[in-house]
Amino acid sequence: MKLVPYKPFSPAKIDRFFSDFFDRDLGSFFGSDFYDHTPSVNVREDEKAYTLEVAAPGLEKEDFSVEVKDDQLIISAEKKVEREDQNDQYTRREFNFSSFQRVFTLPEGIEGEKIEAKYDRGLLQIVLPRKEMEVLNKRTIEIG
Amino acid sequence: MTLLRTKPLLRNGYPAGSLSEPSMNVLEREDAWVLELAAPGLEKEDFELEVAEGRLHIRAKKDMAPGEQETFLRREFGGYDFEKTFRLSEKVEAEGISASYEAGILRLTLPKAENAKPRKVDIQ
Repeated sequence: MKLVPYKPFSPAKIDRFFSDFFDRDLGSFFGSDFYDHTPSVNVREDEKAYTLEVAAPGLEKEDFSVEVKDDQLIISAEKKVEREDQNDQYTRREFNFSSFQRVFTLPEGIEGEKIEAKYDRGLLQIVLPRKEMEVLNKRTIEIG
Repeated sequence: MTLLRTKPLLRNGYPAGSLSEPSMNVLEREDAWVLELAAPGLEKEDFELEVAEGRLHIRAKKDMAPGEQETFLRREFGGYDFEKTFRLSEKVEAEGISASYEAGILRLTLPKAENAKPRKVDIQ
């Protein structure tokens, strides 16, 4: 099989490169090869909860660990069962999420006991509900 | 098999996180090549796969806009709008190409044609 040479410095990759540097923790940046091994994360917010989505395809839910420690949310994964055949040879590798860790500082007012997580279609979704008080505290201020 | 991009990367020109061009792994087995596309959050119906005129086309489009009451605090990935095209060499048994979508990975198996498989040569 002939493959067009992989060009790590094509424009798209440079874009990636710099955003890695600014957005991601330095450990994973410096330790990285050219392929992606730290998953992207979206964080959404609505009145009731914060929702984190981690794009980490190719894992099983048992591979993840989600931990709350003080005000930090620690998300990590370690692939337990390596299904790849020893004879499989990667001729091109752009992603491998089999081992990673990302840490987020939690905002105040999270109901730590009620954090829920699920893994579906390669997305790890973590819902962090706000405390009741936080929800009730929202009020409209009328202009007198 | 030659991999060629017939279209520029869609990520170019879009703000980061708006659209995702999936990363791809290619691995070689004794009897097949396997393409793995990292595309989490889709349904298998979101993909369109086509083999035509010696080419394999992979397309997916999905808008992942936030809900009305939601705001994004961080956005590192977005929806999808991509097309990848691969020219299939005669070493691929085009009829036998199969695909599956599991745990966010689209996996295509391209069986090798008989003449591309390794074979043992007997000593006379």
